[in-house]
Amino acid sequence: MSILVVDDETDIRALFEQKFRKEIRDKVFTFEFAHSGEAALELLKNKDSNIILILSDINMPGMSGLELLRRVRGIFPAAPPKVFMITAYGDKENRERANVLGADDFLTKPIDFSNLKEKLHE
Amino acid sequence: MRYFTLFLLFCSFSSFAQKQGFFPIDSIPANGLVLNQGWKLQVGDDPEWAQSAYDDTQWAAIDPTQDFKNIPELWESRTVWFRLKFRVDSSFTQKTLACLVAQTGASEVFLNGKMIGSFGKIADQNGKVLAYTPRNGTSIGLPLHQSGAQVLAVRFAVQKKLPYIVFADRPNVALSLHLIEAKNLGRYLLNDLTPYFEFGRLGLYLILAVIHFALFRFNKKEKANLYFFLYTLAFLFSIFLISIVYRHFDLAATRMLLLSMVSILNGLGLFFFLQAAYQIFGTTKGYTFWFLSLFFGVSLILLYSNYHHGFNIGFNLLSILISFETGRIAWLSTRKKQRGAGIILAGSIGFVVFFCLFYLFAWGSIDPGPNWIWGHIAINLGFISIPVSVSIYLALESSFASQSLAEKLKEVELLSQRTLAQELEKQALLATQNETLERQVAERTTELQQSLETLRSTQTQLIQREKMASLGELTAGIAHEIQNPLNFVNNFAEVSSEMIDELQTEINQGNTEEVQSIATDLKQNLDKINHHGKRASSIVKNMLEHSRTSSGQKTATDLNTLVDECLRLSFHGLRAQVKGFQADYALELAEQLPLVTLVSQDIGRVLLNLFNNAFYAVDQQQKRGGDKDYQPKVIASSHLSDQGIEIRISDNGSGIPIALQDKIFQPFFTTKPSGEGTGLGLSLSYDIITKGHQGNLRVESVEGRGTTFIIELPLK
Repeated sequence: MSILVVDDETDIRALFEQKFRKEIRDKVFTFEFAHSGEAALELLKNKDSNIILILSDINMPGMSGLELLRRVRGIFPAAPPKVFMITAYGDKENRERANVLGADDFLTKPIDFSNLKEKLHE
Repeated sequence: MRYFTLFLLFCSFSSFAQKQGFFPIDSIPANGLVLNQGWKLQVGDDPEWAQSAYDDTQWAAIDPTQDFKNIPELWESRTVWFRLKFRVDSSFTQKTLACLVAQTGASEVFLNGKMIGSFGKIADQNGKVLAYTPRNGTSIGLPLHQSGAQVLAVRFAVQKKLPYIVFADRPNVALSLHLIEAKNLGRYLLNDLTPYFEFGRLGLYLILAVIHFALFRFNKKEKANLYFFLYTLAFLFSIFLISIVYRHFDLAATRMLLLSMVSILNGLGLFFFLQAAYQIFGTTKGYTFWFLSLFFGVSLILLYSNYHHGFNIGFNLLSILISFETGRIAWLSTRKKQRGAGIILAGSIGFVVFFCLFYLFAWGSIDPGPNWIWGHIAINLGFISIPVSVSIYLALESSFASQSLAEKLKEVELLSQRTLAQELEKQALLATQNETLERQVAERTTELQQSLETLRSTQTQLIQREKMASLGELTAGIAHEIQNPLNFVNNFAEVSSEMIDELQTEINQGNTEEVQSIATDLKQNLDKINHHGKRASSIVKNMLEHSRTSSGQKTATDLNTLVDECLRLSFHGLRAQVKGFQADYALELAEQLPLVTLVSQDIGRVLLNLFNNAFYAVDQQQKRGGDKDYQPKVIASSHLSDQGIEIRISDNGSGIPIALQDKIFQPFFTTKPSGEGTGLGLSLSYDIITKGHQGNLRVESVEGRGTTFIIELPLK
């Protein structure tokens, strides 16, 4: 089960790899990282990818998280991966727009990893 | 009286004289006796003809006192002889007798065969005749030693080819011998008053000439004075010549030359006088003038071809005609009531009247006598009547002129007084106005000072507002920018804490390899916490710097970092603030850019402003939605060149119309909707780059394709 993390901050990779070091080691999850919406779409288009969940930041240069969500919903109409949007605290507007676009869930920065882990295990 | 005596003598002795062939002379009147009868003439030359005994009965009778032109024999041959036989009684031998001589020619006078006088030369060194016209009062002694028959013989020749002028119709007598007692000779000399008249006239004309010359010299516009001057000058010379010609010149050639000059000078003088009259009365020269000019010209020709009529026409008739013409125009002007015309008219009439009187008394007279004196008085009155009238006229004119000047002076004084009063009034008015103006200027200056202060304060406020506005736009971006590193700090701290728990577990289990790995990660996390902490701190610092008033302190700055930070701040700020904002950005920064000394807050503000504008432009273009494939993008690049560092901020927005490209750097110019922009951003940016850093800020834009702002900063 592969999870795609999309954020323009490169340190997100280190953080995730440390937070989920057990899960990664035990191969419960595998993580893939993209630092822009465009890169994320490239990965998703690869047929070999087994991405079932996308965790995407909204504020990114170039393609934003919301745009990525819209495209993902366009690419996978039948069996789409789940998309969790990571939003800034109190960013109601983006949250509403993401809701409309079909986001499955929301995470607020700073990410509550225990909460995230629970959701992932679900 | 003279003629009457002669007539009586003639009646008494004519029969006797004819019988004897001798002309009897019994007595001599006090005024003398002109020997004009009993003369005989023979053409030729023979010394014998001087002798008393010579028989001249065959000779032709002649009166030699007539004009020599009327004696054709004189012109037929070289010499002629005149002979007069006369008889005197014994009483004559007691008297000393003399002969007053007048002649036009050369003569040798013999009495009873002996030469008693000679005038001129019948043959000079070249064998030519030298005519002689003796001056007034020239006489020869007549030694009658015995009573009875006497013979006067005169050898005579005329000098041909001379212009013999007939002055005042005086005949050029061939030969006139005027018998007179020597004691009475004096009356012909002493009674000659003409010099007094002539010198008086000379003086008068001289004074007038000087006066008119002076008048002309000091008022050249008045041409009449010039003509009066020339008139008086011509007459001055003419009178001078006439006054000397009969007294000092005996040679006929000289006398005739001078007389012809007199004639010409008179004619010219009269013409000048006529010109003066034309000038005074403002008359245009008409046919009369040209007729008179022609008349004068013809008279000059006549003067030399036919001396008699030439002089009469050129001098006498012309004088009268010109006087008539002057009188005519003066009379016309009198009718027009022209001032002074009557005076000139009177002068002209006076001239004509006196001239006529002169001829009445002295016409053809060759001898001085009572009538001669009256004639001279008349001609002198005639000659002075014109200048006297002119002088009175001038006196009148100058009197009018001075009266008029005095009146004008009064007017001028009055005007000056008025002008002075007006001037004083004006000055007073001006002074009042000046005071008012100064007061108003002072008031306005104070108002302006206040306005300026208000303006300055407003400007400061506006600049601050502009700063705060751009800061406001950034707030959300700043929040995001701070939030991200803070999240990392928190997350890495949290995960590190968890890893320490794990580390202990692994230590307890003795799992060295895992311990090593966790320790490495922990080290890495701490670095990341440190890095993100600094990152947040830097953002806060920048924000504070931005809001603070510029210190103006220049520091060595890494432009690439500044560009990067500002781009991010701007991007995140807009993304947070503007609904649906979506744009890409790219940094194309030059490697190894040297540090540049600049005021980083100011340059940061410029960059933020330019980035905000760029993102705003691409966002607007996106929202217009004309092109589905439109990818909004802002690119910031830096380049190093010899001139310095160039930073280009390009967007692919809507571009700026050419018409607006000149205006965008003007203060308060904005295309944003009211309330969204201050219009000061680019203006301030321009000042910061150009004035603050001696750089350049310019724009390149193509409408519909995008805009690039170029900052050029010198390295030093």
